[in-house]
Amino acid sequence: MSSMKFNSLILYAISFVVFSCGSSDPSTPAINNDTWLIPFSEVRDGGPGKDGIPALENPLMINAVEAEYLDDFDLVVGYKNGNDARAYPHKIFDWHEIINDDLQGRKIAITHCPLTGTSLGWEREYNGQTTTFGVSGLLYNTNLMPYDRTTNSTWTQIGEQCVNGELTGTKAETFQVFETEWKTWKSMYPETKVVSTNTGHSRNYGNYPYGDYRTTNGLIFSVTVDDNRLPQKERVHGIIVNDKVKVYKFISFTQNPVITDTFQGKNVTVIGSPEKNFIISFHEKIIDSTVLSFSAINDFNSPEVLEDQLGNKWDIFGNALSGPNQGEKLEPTNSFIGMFFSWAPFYGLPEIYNN
Amino acid sequence: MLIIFLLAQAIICKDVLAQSCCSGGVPLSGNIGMPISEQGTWQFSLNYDLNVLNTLKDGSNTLSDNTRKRTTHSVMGQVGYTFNNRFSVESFFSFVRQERKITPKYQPTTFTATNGIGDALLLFKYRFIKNYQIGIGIKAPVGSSDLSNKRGLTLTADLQPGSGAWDIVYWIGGSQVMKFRKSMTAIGSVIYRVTGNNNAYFGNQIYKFGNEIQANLGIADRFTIGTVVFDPSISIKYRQVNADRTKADNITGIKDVPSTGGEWIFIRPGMSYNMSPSTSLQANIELPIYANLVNTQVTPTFRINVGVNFILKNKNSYELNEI
Repeated sequence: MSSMKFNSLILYAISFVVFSCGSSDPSTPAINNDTWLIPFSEVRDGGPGKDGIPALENPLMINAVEAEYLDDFDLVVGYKNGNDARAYPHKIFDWHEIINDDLQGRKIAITHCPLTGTSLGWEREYNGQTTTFGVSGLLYNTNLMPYDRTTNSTWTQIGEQCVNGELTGTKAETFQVFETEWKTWKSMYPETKVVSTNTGHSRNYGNYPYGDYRTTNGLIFSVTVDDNRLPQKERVHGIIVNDKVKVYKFISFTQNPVITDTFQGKNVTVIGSPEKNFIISFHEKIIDSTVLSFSAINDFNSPEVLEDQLGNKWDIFGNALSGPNQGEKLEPTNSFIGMFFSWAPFYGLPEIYNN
Repeated sequence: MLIIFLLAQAIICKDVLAQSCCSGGVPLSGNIGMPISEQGTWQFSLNYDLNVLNTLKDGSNTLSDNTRKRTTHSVMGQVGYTFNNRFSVESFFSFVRQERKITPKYQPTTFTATNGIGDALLLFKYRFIKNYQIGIGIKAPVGSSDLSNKRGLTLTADLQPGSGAWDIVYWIGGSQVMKFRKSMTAIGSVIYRVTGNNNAYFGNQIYKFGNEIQANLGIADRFTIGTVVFDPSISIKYRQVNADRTKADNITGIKDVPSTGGEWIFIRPGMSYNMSPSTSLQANIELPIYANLVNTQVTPTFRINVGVNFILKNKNSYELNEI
């Protein structure tokens, strides 16, 4: 091959590579920004992209004794439907954020945001259609924005509603979940199932992917309201009434595990234990003109954790397991645990319970 | 000697300004540290760089997951001028396309891309001994750092063509002809980049890419096929990047961004072809042979760089004196 021919060939190859580097962009269709119920300018692309964090669907469940990847103090989100008690560990949520599950025909989604520390139970049926939720890759006030795979609508987790798309304005139908540490959950429900690390995704579930995020101040994405009255990442239980929030600190339950309180005209009972690492709350319950008052029993080590003055014994989900009113149920508040900073951007500065 | 320096240019200093370790980053990944040339000489280069990140690693362990792919295409131009025996300067500019492709199991593929002018660099160099130079440069944030996707959402720092920050670059490089084989040259360089803050990240946040150090060591030789002269080379590149940092609220200071930072070792075979005394072509591929990342990150799978280099002497050009 002559040097000149070779030169021409090389130059052609270089030109082809340099000038053909563009590629098509089949991005998702543009969406009308006007349809957002929240300030669009505050919505962030979090980086991983849509479904870049893969939500799980009907994950493999294992028995508690098989869950060697969990330590006693690892946080789990517990839920119980009939006799089917299941634990959804933060160690799994840190990599998947949403678990779509089916408990004896009850179709649920547990959504968890690692950046706000919030775990909520959501129904999966809207407008008569059963859907699954995925991770949109978007954040609002540094909080998870799920999307439903039936309509591709975008939701806000802490805001508990659909904010963009066909279902805009639809409220998320929530149900009560119980966030605590693995040891506590196991002691209450020894027969529990728990999500296996065999999720179909290759991840190191023993590794927390957010570094020191949960133990130090400082955010990765900004929020619309900064609230420095408590440490940003302190986990608190927030009760939402009339779009206002009152939060309860774990330390408030050191002396008394049961607090009766009033917020926005609603009487509530809040049960908590720093040692067992949970807080949960219910609306006031009246039976035959008697306002129930509760006391803790069994050191929260069995399914029966509360007893009222009528002799009823209740579980942590508010079911009367025994006593004269067996079968009755306490109405849970709209509440969940979250990092302190996460409440103000959604509901204004929260009232802080202080005893 | 000229060929050796051109080859040196091809081997060393690629990717010296690539930003985030977990991404394609802002690839001012040109050939900073152009070779020593004669006084009054202009040097030009045009390169295309393809950086593909499709490997998911947890620390140093590769995970079986290629659902996330980040690709950076860059077209990079460079102009250098040698003032005298000691001093020279070079400038660097680029056009960048950032792509993110997610191919989740059982879900539709999503694709996001941005295009734009990347950041620019001006590097001042001082020849302190024979074939060795030292330099200091400043990287100007002329590239966009607030581009949005088609939904109108501003994308994260690693998907932007520019970094939005002024950086300082320290550079040292040189070459040494092997005594046992006159056509063989050992080449090395070290680059340290101190990054600045982007104070308008998402409008009101601060974002700082991690400081970076990079060392290159390689050898180059020559062989001919007929009348065509080739200069093969191989080099090893070590790269260490600190975690990115951000400040997103008015309560606390700047803090590390999770899952950023790490260290890598690459092997980079390359080939250079001299079309004429003033024009050369080069191509190389970069393959990771070791990586140890902070937490889990998508990390480089391979990189390809091709380019053409051109030297323009004026009538006043003359060879540099020995130092």
